[in-house]
Amino acid sequence: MTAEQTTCPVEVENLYFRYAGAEKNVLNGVSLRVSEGEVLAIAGLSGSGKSTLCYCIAGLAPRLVKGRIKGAVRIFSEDVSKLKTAEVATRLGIVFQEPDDQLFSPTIEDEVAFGPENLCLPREEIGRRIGEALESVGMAEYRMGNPENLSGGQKQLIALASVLSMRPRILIFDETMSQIDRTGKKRIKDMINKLRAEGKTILMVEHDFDNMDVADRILVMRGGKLHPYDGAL
Amino acid sequence: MKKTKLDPRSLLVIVLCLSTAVLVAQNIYFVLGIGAASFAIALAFKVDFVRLVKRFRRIVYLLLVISLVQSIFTLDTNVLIRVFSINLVTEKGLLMGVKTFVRMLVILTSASIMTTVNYRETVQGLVQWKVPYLLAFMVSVALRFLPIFAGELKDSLTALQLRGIDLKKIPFGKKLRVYVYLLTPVVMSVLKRAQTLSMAMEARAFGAYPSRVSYLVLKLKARDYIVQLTSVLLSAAYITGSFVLPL
Repeated sequence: MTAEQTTCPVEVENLYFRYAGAEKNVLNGVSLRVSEGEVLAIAGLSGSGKSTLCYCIAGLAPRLVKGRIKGAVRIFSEDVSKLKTAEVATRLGIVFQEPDDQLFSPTIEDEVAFGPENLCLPREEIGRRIGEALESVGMAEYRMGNPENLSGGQKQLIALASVLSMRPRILIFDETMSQIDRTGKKRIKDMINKLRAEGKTILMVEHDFDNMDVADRILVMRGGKLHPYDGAL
Repeated sequence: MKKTKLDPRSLLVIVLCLSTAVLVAQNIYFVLGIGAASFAIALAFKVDFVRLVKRFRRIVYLLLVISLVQSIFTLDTNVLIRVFSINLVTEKGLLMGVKTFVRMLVILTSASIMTTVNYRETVQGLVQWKVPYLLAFMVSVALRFLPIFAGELKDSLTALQLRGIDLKKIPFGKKLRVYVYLLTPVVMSVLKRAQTLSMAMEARAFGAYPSRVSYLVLKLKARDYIVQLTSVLLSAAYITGSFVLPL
């Protein structure tokens, strides 16, 4: 067992975040621990700071999302701000809310290949990863298709496959099910269950409680802090 | 649209040759010849002309106006149309107008040939020509998102019309103000999309290393070499011929 496997996948300690130009903090001392293989759902009203927390955990804030950050975010016990882009990308993957904003290639194969290409992996390995990722989300038959011709749910599965091709052990779903129909939601939930069975650590952010039945634990973001779920937002 | 069997670099060579030849050629018959050739080539590549005409309808009107202006302001002694002792259209002016119109049409038509190949392959072709990946990728992303932004602008206009503002009936000044109001939400939406896109790319290690590997590798075949060589030789012959036979 490696050191990475024995440590906590996600640790957030007393985290504060304020967007550049804003007067108030979005996150007001958030603390959180997600265990290996756990599916944690974070609920909350729009603008409560759920997505901001995801960006902080993924190291995207304040690198790309400008603002002032205070506190600690650790992935497998390492400070996310000190990790290099490739190190974060291979440990943690994030699927965003809007499928059209995260797919930018003319074929599904190109889309899934994008991450491994950036990691400078050998071409044979990239090919293998594309096959595995598409197989895993059940979209292998669409490999040479255009993502624009897919339904919302299928697009999200391709976005997930693009992330899985990086082989991360932590996955963040940022309101991934908000733009898709019931069939699409079912497919995403089935995927979450499958990924949990594979030992992946999953953090899902949602505002619809119907989508959280796959979660092991639910927390609610209120006033910039996390609270145990007590039946209300 | 049916995909062409040629390498995107061969298509780029054709486009470059057609555009250069039509811009450099002086002889009207040569210009018209290149115009006809570009249409024939576009047809051979199965370019969807109906869609193309629809898309470029407004541009074609603009081209006609530009050509007309060019025709009116080119002075010559051979006057074709005179109104109240003003030389409106001269022979030289007419030739110049026609040449301008055909030249611009050739550029549009030859560029449409590039739509027969997917833009990832075009990017890869450019990268294999040693164009920096970042530059080629930015162009491809812009092409991918342009229809989305156009759609968003259209949605915003529809939303305005549903609130009782008929853009066709309001005066130009007010129309301009409406467009200024529309610009803010559209630009905000563009910025939001751009940020999500950059996050999605960063999360997949974009720019992690100074170089990157490409899964897609293009290989030139014999037919590509033939097409490229023929295009260069033909356009060179055309340009030379055009200078030998000036009109």
